[in-house]
Amino acid sequence: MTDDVVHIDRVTKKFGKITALDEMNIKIKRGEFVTFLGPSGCGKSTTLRILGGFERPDSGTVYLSGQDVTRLPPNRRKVNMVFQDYALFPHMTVRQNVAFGLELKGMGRSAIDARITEILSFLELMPLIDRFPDQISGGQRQRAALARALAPDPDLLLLDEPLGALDARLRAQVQIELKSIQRSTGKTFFFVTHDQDEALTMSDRIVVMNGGKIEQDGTPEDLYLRPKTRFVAEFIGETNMLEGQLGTVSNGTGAMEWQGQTLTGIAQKGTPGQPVHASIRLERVQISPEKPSHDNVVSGRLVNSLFKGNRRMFEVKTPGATLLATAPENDSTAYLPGSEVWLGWNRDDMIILAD
Amino acid sequence: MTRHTRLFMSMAYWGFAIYLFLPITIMIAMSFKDSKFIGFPIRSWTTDWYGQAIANGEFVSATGYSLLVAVVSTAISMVMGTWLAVLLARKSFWGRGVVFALTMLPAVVPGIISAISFRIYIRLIELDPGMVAIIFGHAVHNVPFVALVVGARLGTMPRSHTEAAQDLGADPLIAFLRVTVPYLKPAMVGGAVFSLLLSFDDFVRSFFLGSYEPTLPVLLFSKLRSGMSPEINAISTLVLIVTAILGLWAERSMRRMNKG
Repeated sequence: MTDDVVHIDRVTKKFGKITALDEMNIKIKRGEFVTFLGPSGCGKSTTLRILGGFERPDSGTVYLSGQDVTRLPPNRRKVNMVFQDYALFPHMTVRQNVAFGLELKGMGRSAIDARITEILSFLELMPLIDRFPDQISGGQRQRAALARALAPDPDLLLLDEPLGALDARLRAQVQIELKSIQRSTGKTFFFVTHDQDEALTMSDRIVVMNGGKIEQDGTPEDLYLRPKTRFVAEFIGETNMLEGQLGTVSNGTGAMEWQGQTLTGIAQKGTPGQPVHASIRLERVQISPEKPSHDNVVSGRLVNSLFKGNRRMFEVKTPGATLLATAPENDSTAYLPGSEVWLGWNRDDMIILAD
Repeated sequence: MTRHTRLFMSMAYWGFAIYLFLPITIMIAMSFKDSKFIGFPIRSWTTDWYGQAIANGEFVSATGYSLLVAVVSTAISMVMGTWLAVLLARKSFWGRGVVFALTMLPAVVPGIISAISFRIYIRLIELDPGMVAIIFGHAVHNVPFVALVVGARLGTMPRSHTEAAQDLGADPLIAFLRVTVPYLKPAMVGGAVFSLLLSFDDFVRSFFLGSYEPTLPVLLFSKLRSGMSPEINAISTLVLIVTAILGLWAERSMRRMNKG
């Protein structure tokens, strides 16, 4: 018995001329909350549908709990799914929807009733047990779909952008709920989304996909603070991207030539002179009226100052690029548009990425 | 819209309504007239014609025969029509256009042509004219209507419903019976009622494919040849009321369930 619930081994899937998955490899441990993140068409949904059994890979092998399931139909896998549109059966009540999977497992009537009560109490749906899907709200439907998928006690729960249909306020609340449900059930969650905010809030681990390949696989902190590619740096969070040439690299620190000035940041390897990009998070760029003492200092003219509620955001035009910087909302320094300002950030806040 | 066009539109509408309902109204009125002679004025009223029609064994047995034919042919066309709708719902397969054309053909072939060709065909396969032949003819004629109504409903069903059923452990047959069929139910009810009415109302196929025992429309036709009678008016009025109620009920329940 292996500890990996999912093992996808060199799986390729093509739709006509489009390669949805290109030699994909991944392992997922029991109890992990893994989010697959990426733009539409990146292969995240195809991965999910292959795990559910709705698509068959062109090549490669899929293992679930150590068993080769590559050719197993959906009804014979210990995997359940929460669909994007929930797919609750409209002619069945919440109770009947949840009972559906349990009946097909061949459970007895009393065991089914006990399990329904258990799962619906846990998700606080008992008062709605005899309602039909069109008689409950969107958030309740989402929880009913979750209850139906969790009831048969699957090894792996697939969630296909299940928060997309909810409004922003409800979505934030459900994100926290989902995370705590996952923690208390100890189930392995395989979550698919294109919303980086959702991914950062809920996941133990995020897999960023692009063009059928995995760009980066790591914890939310890894991806946000230590992106390995330009795509990841730009896709997750807001960032300033500078374009320059690599200088010398040593001990994980590198120099970048940018607009006749040498900036220092974190760099892995590379040959001096090669074109590179550097990513600096907005919140790490500090604005000040006088020249600051940071490792990297740039001067420019303030174009715009925006109040965002929890912070102030500044748009500063420098000779090379327009940079974005932030300051806490209680920073009372008066910055006037058109005035000369200084921007500064430290070596650890800039990541140099090879193109 | 100007006042004049609005006036014209409403006059046209009422003109159409009168054109549609006047003959039916006269027929109903005559069925209550206490005289064998059809025409105005009506001096006294009676319900005797209804009593006579119901007491007349010929009408009763023809109605029963028509109902039997309608029910059996509908059962056949429901199975065939639903099966074809499911087959055609698949996005693409080799020969889909041909299957679609063949499915719809019986709906567009003129009734008389289809009746004559069936008549030739049953002779060829040595099937005697009679109930089996009529049921066969009606069933084929009704398949496209069932397939169209059921297919339209099937087109609105999200793919995720059957996937969810399979995901929860249902094999394709159980998924079809427990999830797809309930979803299609309003359309199937509507298709069945429509098919029943088409069969019950059919004259040409029943006439060409029948033996000595007449269906109700065939009996009415043969009675007419010996002259109009208030008894025919009475039986027609009864048929009108029953079919109108059935049709309206089916239409209403289809509309209500389609919303869900």
